[in-house]
Amino acid sequence: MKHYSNNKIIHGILQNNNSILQYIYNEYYPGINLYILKNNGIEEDANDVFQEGLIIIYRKIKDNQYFLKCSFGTYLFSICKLLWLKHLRQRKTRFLVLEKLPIYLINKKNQDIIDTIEKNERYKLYQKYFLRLGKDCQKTLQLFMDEVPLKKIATLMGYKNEKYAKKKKYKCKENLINNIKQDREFKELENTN
Amino acid sequence: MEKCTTEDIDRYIHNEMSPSEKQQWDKEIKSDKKLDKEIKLHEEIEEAIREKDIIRLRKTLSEIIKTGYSQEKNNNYHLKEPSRIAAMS
Repeated sequence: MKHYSNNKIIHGILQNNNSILQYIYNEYYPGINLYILKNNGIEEDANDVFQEGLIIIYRKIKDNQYFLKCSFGTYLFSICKLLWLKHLRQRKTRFLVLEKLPIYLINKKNQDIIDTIEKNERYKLYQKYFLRLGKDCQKTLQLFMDEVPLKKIATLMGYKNEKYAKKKKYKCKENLINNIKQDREFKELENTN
Repeated sequence: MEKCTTEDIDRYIHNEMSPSEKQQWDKEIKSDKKLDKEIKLHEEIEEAIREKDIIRLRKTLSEIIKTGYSQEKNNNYHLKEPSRIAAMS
């Protein structure tokens, strides 16, 4: 089987390169899956942890905070482990069992990565609800975020005037925010952070 | 703050307020933690919407995971194919 260097892998993640991502999956998913299954998880958890683990690495690369001190596989595995431990901890707080944090999670060296993990948790939730909005709302908000001129947004979306385009934006945003606020996970995140 | 709509917060974030209105808001935010939190939430949500690259990566990964799955299922299915079982026995 083909083998990719760390650099190639990192480049591939940044480029959203399908064959590199497939390679990462083939190469590292089984180990992560096994770890999660052995530690009170199910296949679905493994999928989620693997996916978010890679997204966290992507965030790190983009922020220039990814330094290769170890092989890519080791790095991915340790992030997935951290994600899973954190998840188990949250699951326990759900059942109101208070427990000390594993040293692993409070180690100062890990604070950067913990911050990224927490940011990713929140943003994943926001994005989930964004993608559940109607196509019109998604597109309108995206155009506003891209700072497309108001006049152009109105034309592109077929809104009768600029005032209406703005109104639409507020309405879509309000919907989105209300949906996010009603999410159970969001309430939990608010309480723990 | 008495009234604080999505529109108000949006206008505040995007600097669409008059200088005096903005000044009032700045003052308010310092004493009103809830409002401060609300504004931060709005800003984060906007940033999250801008992360098209991450939304795309998550989509690619979930597709890979899904097909990885179905491949496994297919393999299992083949193993249990009646003709094969018949051939083996």
